[in-house]
Amino acid sequence: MAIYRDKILRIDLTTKRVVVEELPKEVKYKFVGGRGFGAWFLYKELSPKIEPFAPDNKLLFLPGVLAGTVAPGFSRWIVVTKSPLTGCYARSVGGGKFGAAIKLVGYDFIVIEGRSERPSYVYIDKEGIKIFEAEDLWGLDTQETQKKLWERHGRKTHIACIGPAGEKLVRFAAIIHERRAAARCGVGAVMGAKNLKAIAINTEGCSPPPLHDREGFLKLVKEHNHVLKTHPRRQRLTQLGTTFMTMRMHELGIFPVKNFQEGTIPGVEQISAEAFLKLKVKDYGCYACTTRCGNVFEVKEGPYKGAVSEGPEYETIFAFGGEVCNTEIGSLVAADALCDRMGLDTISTGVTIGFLMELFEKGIVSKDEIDGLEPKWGDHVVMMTLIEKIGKRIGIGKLLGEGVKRAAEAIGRGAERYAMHAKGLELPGYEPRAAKAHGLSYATSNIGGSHMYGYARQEISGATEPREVDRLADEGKGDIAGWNQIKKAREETGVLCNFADSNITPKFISDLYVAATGIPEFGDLDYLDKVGERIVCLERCFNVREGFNRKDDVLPERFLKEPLRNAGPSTGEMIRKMDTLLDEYYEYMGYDKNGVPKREKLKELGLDDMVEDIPGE
Amino acid sequence: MKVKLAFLDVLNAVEIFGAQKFEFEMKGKTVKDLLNEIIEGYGHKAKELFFKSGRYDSTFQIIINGRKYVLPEEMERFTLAEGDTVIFSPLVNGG
Repeated sequence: MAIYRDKILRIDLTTKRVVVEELPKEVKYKFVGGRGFGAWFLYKELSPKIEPFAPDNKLLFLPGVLAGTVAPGFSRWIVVTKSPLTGCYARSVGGGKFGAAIKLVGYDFIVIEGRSERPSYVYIDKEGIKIFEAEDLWGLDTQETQKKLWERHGRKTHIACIGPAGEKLVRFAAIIHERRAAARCGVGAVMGAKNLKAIAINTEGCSPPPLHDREGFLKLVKEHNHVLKTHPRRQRLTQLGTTFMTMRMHELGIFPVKNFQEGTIPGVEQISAEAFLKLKVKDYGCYACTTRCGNVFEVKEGPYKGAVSEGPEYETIFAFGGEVCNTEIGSLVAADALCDRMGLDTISTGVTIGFLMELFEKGIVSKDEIDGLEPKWGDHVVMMTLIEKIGKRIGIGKLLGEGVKRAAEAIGRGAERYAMHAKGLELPGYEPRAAKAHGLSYATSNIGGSHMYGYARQEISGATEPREVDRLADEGKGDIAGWNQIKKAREETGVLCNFADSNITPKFISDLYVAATGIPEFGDLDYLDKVGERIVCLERCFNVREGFNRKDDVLPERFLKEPLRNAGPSTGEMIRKMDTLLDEYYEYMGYDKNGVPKREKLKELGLDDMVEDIPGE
Repeated sequence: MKVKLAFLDVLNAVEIFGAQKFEFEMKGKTVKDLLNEIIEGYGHKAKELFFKSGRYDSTFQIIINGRKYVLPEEMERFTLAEGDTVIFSPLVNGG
């Protein structure tokens, strides 16, 4: 069958056993690729209640079904595992070329299991797979690591690695490839727990996967790229990425400030797109992508002169800007670069620092307890110090590296009230009280507080599919949250990039899939919708098996009890009807009142044979 | 009537309008009227914000009072009120 390699690469680091298994045909039909394969495999293979840092956790690296082709925006990669931060399903997405590399070298996905006795790295090329010792790499940051591996194996080697944060099991450590990150859910820490420093894939001499209808596929891509040339959204993303979002989100009251206390930061124009324009030095694109949204910024003056980073994007501008009330633009670039080198999730890192700042503000912690630091709002110097401490897990970094949920539990004294997370995953840069379907998705997402799991474009940017939505309405959001989650899962069978999807419709994706695979079922949009729904449902079942249900689909009390302050048109808003929103969502998704998929839904989605071990109606 | 305009994340807003945010005295009533008057008042550079290659750019978004996105097909019938805030901002989302 075209496009698929029909190979799953399984590497056991304990025994050093490498096995290539066949990808079953029915799995392609039911799950298509990318995130779909991850849901299928992890549910099937991972026993419930295992410890995320234990050798029996599995770490999957999954490209999308079109990875390695010239389809722009379809070569990202997904990491799937059990999260050490949340204890539930982990899905984390990275950009660059690594997704294409997995497919080019000949696999549909890679499974890492066991634990290496000594630090090691995996090297893959068209000749085979080797496991090398990595004592000389252990302790290096992610950029130093990649540089060494390029010197050793050549520049056609694409590397996914961890930095000190992953080695030290910071629970929100990221996996870094080039300067891109599979950041969320602590996937880097799972890699560190396996003593795995890097996976290096050399694509020298490798060929792209075969296409079923090459001419048809290339025609679709050519027409699409032609439209993208003059597409205004594409042009903006190429120009300055999502720095273009900050001022609008701030004006609407959606940009969280001071640990989600309020919605206005004085001097916000200092971290606007106009301000970043002065720092831009070049752009960068992922494999085959014509949007090239990667923006490299260099700080030319001030206390962070010389700092260079590919980024920050909007989320990092929130994490080290709004969240900590900081408008020193150079520090945003420096913080972004430091997190990349350390291998840290910028969102979780920023929100953890904001959490500490609020505890300090409220007198819950004193400077004697936090290495003599005084983390006040806007203090970017302390912010940079804390990032370093977290990445190296020294001093107060030891506790902060556990994430806000665990840190709050350890501190006590009411600290839990200030821990902004859902299921343990620190919340991203959209205020839930100002975009309530988006907030509902934070609560119900099967990976915890993720903006991408069910991004509510209807509320954030006025999209009208499936219908127009008033972001401040208190109810009538359940179907929107569910629809967005299913749509995203459907798109992540190809790991379609959110930034590269200008002019991309469900029909276009479907046409590409049919041309690539020759599977006529993929030409049916309802069929692909069902695939998306199947993926979300199976991820839900994974969590139910781990003991998650309605009691875990919650948001911090702040959003339910405190009116949003100082947030323009969103001032005074709260999540007033959380129970109603949850009931709406469960009904739309076919779950019972406890948030557990009903048997009839499992049967409808063809999951009833696979999922026999969860309670429910 | 006076409305408050904000051109956010628009790189040349100050160049075209002298400010990102300002009050505007409009003669008409609808969003369409407002666009026409802005273009009439500020010239071809203002027009280029709304029109690309001769066609209206629906990704240059219009938000009334921080809550209602006005779609292109609604512009002619959506009426404004004294003191309304109108945000113009380019569509970018995610990440």
